[in-house]
Amino acid sequence: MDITAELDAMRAGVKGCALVAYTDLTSQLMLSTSSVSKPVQEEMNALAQAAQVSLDGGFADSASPSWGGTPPELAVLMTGSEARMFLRSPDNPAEALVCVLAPDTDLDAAVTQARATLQQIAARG
Amino acid sequence: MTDFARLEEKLAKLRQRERAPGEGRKIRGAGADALLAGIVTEIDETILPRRLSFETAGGTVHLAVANRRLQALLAPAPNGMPDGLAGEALPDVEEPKVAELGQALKSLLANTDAVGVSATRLTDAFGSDIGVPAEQLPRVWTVAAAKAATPAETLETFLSGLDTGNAAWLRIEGEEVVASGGSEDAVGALTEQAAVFLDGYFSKFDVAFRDPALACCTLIAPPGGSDIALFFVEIDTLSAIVHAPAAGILAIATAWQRLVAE
Repeated sequence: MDITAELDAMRAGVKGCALVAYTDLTSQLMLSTSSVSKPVQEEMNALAQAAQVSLDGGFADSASPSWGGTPPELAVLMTGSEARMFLRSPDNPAEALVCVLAPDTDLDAAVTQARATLQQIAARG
Repeated sequence: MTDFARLEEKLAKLRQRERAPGEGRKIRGAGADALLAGIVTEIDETILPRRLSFETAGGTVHLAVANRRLQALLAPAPNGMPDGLAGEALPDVEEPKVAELGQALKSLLANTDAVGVSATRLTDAFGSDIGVPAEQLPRVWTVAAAKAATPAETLETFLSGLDTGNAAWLRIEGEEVVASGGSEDAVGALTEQAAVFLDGYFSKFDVAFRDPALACCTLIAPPGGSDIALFFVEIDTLSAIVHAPAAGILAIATAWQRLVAE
């Protein structure tokens, strides 16, 4: 199964999940995407930037002293209308999974599914 | 006009829009009374004849509603509804089964935190003068009329629900910490880190949150569950920062999510 198929499977498996993408945090580029509808490039750029800020940039740098400075693994940015989740790959810390979720999505289930998806992606090498 | 006033104006216009048949949404609230008050609001906002369906863990209740009146309980009714009531018109508030229906609904809503709502066209409409006006239901069902929580109430509800045995929090208004919770050591550690976080947060806020929102929150967590994770919420002009073990931080986010998700 290729990365896009893994992302498709995750999107189908999480109720309220509108988009799943795999991003390179350093270059802030989306490497692969699965979405309900074709996202516009500006939205994807904004998501990639938000992922970078949350896991490697300003938010991460200012939050990580709370636990000793290790780069964060997980970030969630939530408003009343959506939740965006970013989960760092354990296999390649410069890459992360990005999910756009409905505001009432089960976050615990989404994170569990995202971890499993990252393991699948890592396993395929 | 402030962003909040603009939002209120927009919401007022949206309330006037007729909902599309079948459009789904959720009522959220803590406890049966709050959810039942939400159901009363749904009745109060329904003018054209509609079959309103309220999905709970214990079953789905279908109500005939028109002209802001509750007209009847419709079949199929879940267990616990008054016998022989489904399909029978509720002529007015004096009908004893109206109060019975309220009690049955309260029982059904106990231990529920969200009710799915959908509306479809009512095929067998009752007379337009039949039914209990929504404004009379809070009295006979003994629930307070629904009132949207203010940002301060929402934040208070959220913070009061945190387990301060594990978590520490600071409530911030402007540049002042106006309240705190948690052990002295944990609050001290959080106070030390809060300024560092807020500095980074506000310098990159526009990158993380491009669209204005009344409420937003940020969760940042380390790998593993034993270390401290950070949770920051803003609602209107109020904010709060929370330290809690990473293993429980998603539960805290979920508690916030339930209060503000649209």
